[in-house]
Amino acid sequence: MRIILIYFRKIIKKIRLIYNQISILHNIMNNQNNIKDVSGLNSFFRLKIGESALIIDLAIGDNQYYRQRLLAQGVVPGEILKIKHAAPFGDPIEVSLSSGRSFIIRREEANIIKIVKLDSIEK
Amino acid sequence: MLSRKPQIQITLIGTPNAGKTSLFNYLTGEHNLIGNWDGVTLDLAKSSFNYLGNLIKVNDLPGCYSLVASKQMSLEEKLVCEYVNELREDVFINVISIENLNRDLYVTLQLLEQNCYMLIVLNTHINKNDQYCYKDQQKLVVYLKNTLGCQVVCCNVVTGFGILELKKSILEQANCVNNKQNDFLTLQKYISPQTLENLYKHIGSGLFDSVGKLIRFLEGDVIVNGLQKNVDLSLIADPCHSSCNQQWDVFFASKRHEFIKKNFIIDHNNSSIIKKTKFVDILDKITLHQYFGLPVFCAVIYLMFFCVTEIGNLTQNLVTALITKGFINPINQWLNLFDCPGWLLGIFNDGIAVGVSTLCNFIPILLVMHICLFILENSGYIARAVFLIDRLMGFLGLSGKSLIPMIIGFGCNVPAIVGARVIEQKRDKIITILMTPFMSCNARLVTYSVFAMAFFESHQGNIIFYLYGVGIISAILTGFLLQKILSGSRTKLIMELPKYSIPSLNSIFKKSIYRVKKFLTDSGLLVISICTIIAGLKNIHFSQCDLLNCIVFKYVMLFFKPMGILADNWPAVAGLFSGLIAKEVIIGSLNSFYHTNNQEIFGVLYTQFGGYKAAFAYLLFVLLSFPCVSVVTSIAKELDTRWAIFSVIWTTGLAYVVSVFYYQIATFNEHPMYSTKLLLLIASVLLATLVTIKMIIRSNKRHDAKLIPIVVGQ
Repeated sequence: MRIILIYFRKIIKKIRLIYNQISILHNIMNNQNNIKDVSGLNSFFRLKIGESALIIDLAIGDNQYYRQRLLAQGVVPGEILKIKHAAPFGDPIEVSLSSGRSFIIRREEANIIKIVKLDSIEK
Repeated sequence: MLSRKPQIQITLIGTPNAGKTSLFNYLTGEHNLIGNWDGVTLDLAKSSFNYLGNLIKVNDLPGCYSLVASKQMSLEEKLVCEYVNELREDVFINVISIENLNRDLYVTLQLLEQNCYMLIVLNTHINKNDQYCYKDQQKLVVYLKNTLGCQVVCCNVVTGFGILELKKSILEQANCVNNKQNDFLTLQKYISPQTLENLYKHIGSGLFDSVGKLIRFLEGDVIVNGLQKNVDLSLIADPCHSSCNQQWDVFFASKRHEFIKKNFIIDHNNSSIIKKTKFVDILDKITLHQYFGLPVFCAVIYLMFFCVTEIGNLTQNLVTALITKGFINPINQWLNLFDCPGWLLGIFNDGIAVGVSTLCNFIPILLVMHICLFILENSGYIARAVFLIDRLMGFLGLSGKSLIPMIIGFGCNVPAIVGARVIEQKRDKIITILMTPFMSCNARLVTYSVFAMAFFESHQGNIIFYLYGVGIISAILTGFLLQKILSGSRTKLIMELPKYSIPSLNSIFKKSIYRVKKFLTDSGLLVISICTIIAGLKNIHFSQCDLLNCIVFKYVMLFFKPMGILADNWPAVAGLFSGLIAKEVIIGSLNSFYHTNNQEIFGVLYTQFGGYKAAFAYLLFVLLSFPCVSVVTSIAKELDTRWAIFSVIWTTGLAYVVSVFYYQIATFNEHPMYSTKLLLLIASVLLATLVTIKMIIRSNKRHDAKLIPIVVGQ
């Protein structure tokens, strides 16, 4: 039983890795201006459950409504966000802000939020 | 001179899930749909109530997160923005929930900037009995009053605590016109006078009649920008940048959040006002777990259907017996006493009695279904299901939000299709709406349960579950194909997870009984009248042979032969046609067609269909085929007529193919030659559709390829 579980986990990890790589590639293809941010450490793809990051800025992005929603949600420069949960396959994530509010977003779309990952020591 | 206004108009406004519709229902006694997720109300609801001789009109707006209108906004939020922009004479009632105080205050601040004539309702979850909480709460109310400069009333919209006080203050607010200007929050609070001067230099001070409009203009509001077309935002943004070094909307948003944070930070752990959330955290750890989340979701859905089918079937016999003993037999005796003519007795027995007993058979199943749906809707699990399923829906190019209409679709497809308005992207909306007719609604469930009783006694529940499964699979298939055909991107996902709440038993029963009642009154008359018409035709000797000899009908029967409907089983086909009006009519009309005095319906069904295979094929057809008229009209209303026609053709075609396919495979041994021929025919039809779809995709791609260079060129 345990062996199967471990094996299962390995497979899932591999799938997730491949998926992440594909999405990163996809992102690079789509917005070539942001290559540095997407593949760098400070992207939502690299954040794991329990890790937190500082919000620096909010890019304009292609969807104004989404941006307004993020702003109304409290995503403003200076806030600290933390990943609370991740859905199966790791994609939509539940993010909580330091003001106590939480919401779900997709990693790929959330990349209009410019963040700097905080080290686990600072937590 | 008028001493008092004859009419007062109030408008409920606030963030989604704050409790606006609950308050609306409480004030006016309506039964509008409420739920524990964002975006339950989709249109402006209007009603009125009387208080101290004044007629007070109430408008219930859908929830909105921000008053800044944008292009991609969903329709119902745009409605709110436009409504506020017109700045009517109404008294605005801003409903804020104590659980999400700092979220809801964002909209409150935006409203204050607009100089709205406003009354704030603080929606709490506690009663007056709780003295300790009450004191804390009163402190908060006073504090809110002082900091925001508005009248604040504390209410519990579920139990109705504080409603009287609210009504009083509505009257007060409406009568004192002087209070209308609220200068509490102005632009000066946000921007230094120097920057303001700079701003006015660039846009001209006369352009905006209010500061609120100016703020919304700077934030990039589409509606306000549409009014001032000649001003270019990018030009005026630049000179001011030096002072704040940010975009305007980010700047205002952070100012607002700063204000909220400074004044209203509530300690979530210590405050007695907010419910303790430790249990919820543990529950979330299980239900939102990365690996266990999905199995739990499947288990919840399975449990729901298990309850519906099992409990429904258990009670069904009881209800039937009750109805025959308590309603049909006495009236029959009474009619016999008066020596009624035979045809009248026939019409009563085959028509009205059958109709009534069919309807009563619906009751237990519907009740259980609605209780399950109500619990699912109000517990807050539905939003979590969206979170869990989003990635899987991504394979269909859909967002998790499409799940909500589909789950509602198990109750009735019409509100589900209307509910798809929450989805912002047009493409996602189309796919979701076309997928929902495959969700087996209540009316179909009733048909299944009768058939399951007649044919599959040992495993009724399983059969119904298979049928649901087939529906879901065909919905997925539809979504997959449409996703390939239509071009466009997914709706962006941003959503709050509401707090878990346990709906009170009282409200569960009240609401679900109300919904069942509504279903019965809506379709009851229809079912009974159609049954009566059929019985009338039967009894006035418009003989069955006439219908059978009719050439048109013969051809129709020929069309249905491959799915196992025997040539003399014309009532089955007639039932299908009556099902066009509403699916619950199918079983009613079948009942009155087959009804004879000496036999139970189940026995007749069995002999008429000649076996369970044909019956299952028939059920498959009922499940997938033509959604009822009201569904088609609502599709036409939400999308357009072409999509409605497409949906009709697609669903019926798929239904025919699937049921014929099933029946021929199942009875392959009996007539191999005929079956192979038919199967080959089906295969060729499927291939043809696949090829056309491929062609469409290819032409779409070519179209896209043409578009790309233009975009790059710009």
